[in-house]
Amino acid sequence: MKNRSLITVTVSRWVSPFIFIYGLHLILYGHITPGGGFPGGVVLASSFILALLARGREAALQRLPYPLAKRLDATGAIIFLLTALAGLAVSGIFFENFLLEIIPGTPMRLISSGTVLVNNAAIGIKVCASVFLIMLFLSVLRVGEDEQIRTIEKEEG
Amino acid sequence: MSGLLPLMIALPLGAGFILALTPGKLTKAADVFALLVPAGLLVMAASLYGFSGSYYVGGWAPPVGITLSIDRFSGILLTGVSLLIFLTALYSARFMTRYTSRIKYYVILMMMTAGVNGTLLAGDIFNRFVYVELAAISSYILAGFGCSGRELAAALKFAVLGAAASAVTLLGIAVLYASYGTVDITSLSAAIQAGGGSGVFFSPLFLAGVLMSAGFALKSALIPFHIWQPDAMEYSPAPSAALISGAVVTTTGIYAMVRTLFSVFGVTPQTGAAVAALGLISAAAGDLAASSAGSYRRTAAYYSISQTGFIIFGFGIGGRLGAEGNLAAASLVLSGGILHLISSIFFTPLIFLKAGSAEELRGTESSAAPSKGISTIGLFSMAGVPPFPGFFSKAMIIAGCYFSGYYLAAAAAGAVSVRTLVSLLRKRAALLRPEGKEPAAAIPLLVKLPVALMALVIIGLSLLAAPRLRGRVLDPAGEGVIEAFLPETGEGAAQ
Amino acid sequence: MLYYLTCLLFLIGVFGLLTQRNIVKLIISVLIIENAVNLFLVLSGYREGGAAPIITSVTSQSRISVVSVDPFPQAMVMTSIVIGLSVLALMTAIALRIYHIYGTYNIDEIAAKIREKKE
Repeated sequence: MKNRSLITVTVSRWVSPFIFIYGLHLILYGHITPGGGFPGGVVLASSFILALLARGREAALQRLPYPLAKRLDATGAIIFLLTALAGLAVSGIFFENFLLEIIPGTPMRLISSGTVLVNNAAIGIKVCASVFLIMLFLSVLRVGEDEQIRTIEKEEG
Repeated sequence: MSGLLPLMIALPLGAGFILALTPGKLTKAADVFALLVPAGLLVMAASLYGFSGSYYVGGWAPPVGITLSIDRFSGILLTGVSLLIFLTALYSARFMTRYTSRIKYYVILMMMTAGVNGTLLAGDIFNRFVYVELAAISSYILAGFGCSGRELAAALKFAVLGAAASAVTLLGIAVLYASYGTVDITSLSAAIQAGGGSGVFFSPLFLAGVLMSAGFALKSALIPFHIWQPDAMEYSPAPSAALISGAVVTTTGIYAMVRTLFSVFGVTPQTGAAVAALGLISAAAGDLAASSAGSYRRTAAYYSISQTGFIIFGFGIGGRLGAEGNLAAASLVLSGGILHLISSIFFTPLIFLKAGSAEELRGTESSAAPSKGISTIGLFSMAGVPPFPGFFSKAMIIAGCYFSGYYLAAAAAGAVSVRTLVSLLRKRAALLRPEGKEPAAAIPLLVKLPVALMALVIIGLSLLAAPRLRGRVLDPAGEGVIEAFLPETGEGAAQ
Repeated sequence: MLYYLTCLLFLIGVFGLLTQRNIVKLIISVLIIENAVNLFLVLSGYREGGAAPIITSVTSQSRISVVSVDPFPQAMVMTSIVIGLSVLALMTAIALRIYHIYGTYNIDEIAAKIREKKE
């Protein structure tokens, strides 16, 4: 943790925004190109995990604080469920793609898939937060760092 | 009506994520919320009872879409499991206060509920696999919830074996998909029947059947695959042990196995006999292992393996009889198996919850022995003492074997159940402490009440064996299973 | 040929699961088994020279089922990978906690320590 190489720190700082943008691209264009919510979310998370590995836990938590990650984790899943329930409410069928009739969009463009885009975004948020949390907890769970688990537990209130 | 099917899965999932957002200050509110959701699910499951039909998620029909379906068999299990989860949630509200975060426990409980309901409702084998995994992953966490060393070791054993088993199940699904190009249960079974049924040895179909049964057999802790179960049952928190043995094992293990074998592969006399033999081995070996087990919980764990074996034996014999065309006997045996399955949803958890009450009474010492009284009801229905449902279900299975000419099977099953009865009655004195040593009032009401309700349910279940109720409840459920080998049944897919 | 290789991979995983005494190696064995199954699943939908199952301006909607590989196993593998990831995370976390408590990854030593405590 102490003797981090300058190259690693600098390069990770430069690279992680690009990874983040690529993750966003994967999520947003998941319905028309290879990609989607899960791969995009993992790529998003990897930009934070890069910070975690290269510059330590504090740097990563600065970019994505623990309470926020926890909330995003649950919120993403709830959004996903809500779109499914909205399908039930609007057209009477669970998971019905009701947005497609309202906003058909042009095929092969960003707005062309109705609820799929919303679902992909929700999954992306959830996966990003979950994968980041997994890595965070594994980094905390090492020997002799039990107190740090408690501090993290305390932070959540 | 079928619109309730997706909600049975979506409601616990949503509730789980809402609970995950709840801050620690609102634990009391979370208690109430975590109780209301299973109550709502119980009401929905009860109103779905007796209904059969299917639902196409997103309006996509089977070859591409996800189907949810329910029939009499899954309906009766859905009601039973929902009731169990409600009672366990009631029990946990007081019991789980000893652990740091009750809310996290509720989150996992909700995920497990979603997984269990999904397993019961899924209309294709791949989705069933996914829901089985959801329930299984939750149960790994529940098994290690207390985070003490032996709990974690038991949970890790469970997780490693469970993950290997699910890989094996998935391999079975992959083989089926590679051979038939579909995973939807209805079209898959039609394709298999058209291809000559499952009688051919060493065909891809046979391989897939063996792989999938082995995967589900591990989840249901049948004897060659049982090594995770006694450890997990002995060390995990009492409600976790109750949920794993009552909800996860019965649905993701026994139900998934029976449904896969009966509805997908179709039962032939040979597969029925093989399944029955597997069950009988578990029944006998579990009973033998229980006699030499040490603590109360470990003994109960081995006895529950024995009961699982008995259920599987019942379904195997029922399948064989049905495949041979002896439908009256098959119906009797299957009704017995279903009755034993439903009562095991309650009596095994009752035994583990009583162990938890004993811990509550005497500090946190695990594997403490409960007092006599209510736990006797659980043990007696496991042993098959007359007024309790265990007796009727075992009697129905054995009588069905006897009347259809399987004297050897009847004798073996009879010998195993008599041995269980004798050894359990003999061990009971050593396992339980005599009543009256400690004042019973020391156990909080919220811990006592669900256990007492569960005991009432068990006594009520023995009424199902009465011919009239049997004809109205158990036999239709058995028909749901039998449908698999009646050629003329067309699937009436509503929605 | 590739099918046999996935079978070999599967058997390597089973062999590891049966012979290894180290928790980390056991977890890796489970992962090998899972990945072998995933590879098998993807292969079952493979078609010689098939295109990616995506509708673009080149592959039209009507021709997609003819020219592309089967997308369904890919969806299944995706799900299976997600499941594998969550089980892996859980198993690793439990393994780390166990190491924290018992100071070893060897399952025999852990079992001995559990037995000692009991007596």
